[in-house]
Amino acid sequence: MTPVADLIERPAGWFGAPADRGAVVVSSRVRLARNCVGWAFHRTLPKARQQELVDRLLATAARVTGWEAPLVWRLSDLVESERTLLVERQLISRDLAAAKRPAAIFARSDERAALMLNEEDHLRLQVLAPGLDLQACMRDAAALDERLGTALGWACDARLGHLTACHTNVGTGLRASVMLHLPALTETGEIKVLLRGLARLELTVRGRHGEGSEPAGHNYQVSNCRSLGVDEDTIVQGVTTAAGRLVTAEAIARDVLMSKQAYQTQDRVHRAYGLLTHARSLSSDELNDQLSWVRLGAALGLLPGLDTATLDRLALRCQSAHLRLAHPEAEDAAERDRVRAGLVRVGLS
Amino acid sequence: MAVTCQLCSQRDASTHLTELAADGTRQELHVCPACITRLELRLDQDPPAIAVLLAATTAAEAIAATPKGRKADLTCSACGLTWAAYLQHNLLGCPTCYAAFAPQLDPLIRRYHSADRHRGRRAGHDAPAPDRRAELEANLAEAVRAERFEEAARCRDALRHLDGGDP
Repeated sequence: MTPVADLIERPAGWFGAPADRGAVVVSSRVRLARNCVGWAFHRTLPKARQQELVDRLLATAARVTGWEAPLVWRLSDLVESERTLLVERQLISRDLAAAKRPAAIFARSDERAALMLNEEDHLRLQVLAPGLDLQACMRDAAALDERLGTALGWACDARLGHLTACHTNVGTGLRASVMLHLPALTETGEIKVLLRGLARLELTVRGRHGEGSEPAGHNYQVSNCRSLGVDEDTIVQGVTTAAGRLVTAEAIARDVLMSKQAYQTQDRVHRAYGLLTHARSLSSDELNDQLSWVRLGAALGLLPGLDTATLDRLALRCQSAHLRLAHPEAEDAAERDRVRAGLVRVGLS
Repeated sequence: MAVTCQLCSQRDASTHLTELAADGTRQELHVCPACITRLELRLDQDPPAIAVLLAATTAAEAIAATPKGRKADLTCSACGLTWAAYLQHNLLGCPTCYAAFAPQLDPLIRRYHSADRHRGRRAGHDAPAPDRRAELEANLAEAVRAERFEEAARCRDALRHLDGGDP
């Protein structure tokens, strides 16, 4: 079993957005919710049977995925900071991290595909990619889904499709989402109008870590609401189109900022850069806020020598659980803020 | 020291019932919050007899046995989840719940998805799993052992279906 802390120095395969089009799209993700035929959902399944189910899913995953040296953890073997690190790397959901029931994670070594076992559903399959590439994510997820479904047999209904623990996921069980960095639209206030438009298209917007999390550092996650009555290609196309429009709108907003408020925008970017390269203590929130402006500056070419992929990796490396596991000697939040500031100074130098 | 729930034998009990029979004998039952929810027990109003609770193997039996003629809540016969319990967490108990709660659940599904019919893929559906038979046989044996006869019948039908016979 790979120690979770070993991930810290590894670049997550889905991070490092292409710099084209201003690196507005950070990453794409497709998630499928699946349940095995003949098994109750975790809510009514006795714990011993849940354990049996997790064992069975792990054995099947090892047999049919063909992944070399997969990352495998049983949640019961992980302490809180290790679970949180997996949340920060998008490998598991916040709900699964908090779960006390038998559960496990089976992930590809590059972290671009992962199976959450005994989450809300028996299996949550996700595929991630850097930048905007939901089609490729869906293609990989569908192939994996087919192999796992053939081996395990999914709970399916002729009318309702894939049956899930919550009726909001029934049908395709698909959630296609795109993570976007939208500082200019947020700054100009146009984001509010655009978000209302997305709601009319039956799309939803969340923070980086999904349901219940607030957009931090101008990062927004756009995803579909409906999973029934619409096929996978249409869902993926809908989210891709919406993300494309947001990318265009963000580009226009950046042009507006640089033409009408060039002085103020450059001032914000360079102030943020100055703060991050000189601060001796940085909280997670302050880092998110300031790094967003530095990322915008890098994308606009205001900070030569800095690229957005490096900044994204730095942001991940400075998340709370990453810091706690990499620097166990930093015992309290104040100490970790000092460590974070040091990492950022080195990262930006 | 925590006492284990006598109904599920898994979680710590939080409620402790004591029953005194006419002959003076005393019987105790320790129940966890999850089982109270699962069985929809209203312990402050009309608790079933301890003997009934201990003998009940499904929620339906427990509720049907509840005194004072309380109308049984809609219950999934496969997993024992009641509709009221579903509404508390928005999580179903098993795939059969979709059929068991169809009159209540279908309008919610239509409202949320603006649709009531799947239009996407059904992964792995056309190819019977090589180990599906073993799984169904194991489930059948377990269901028979636990006297969950409706579940056993479903497993039997599914096995027949795999063999190409009528379900």
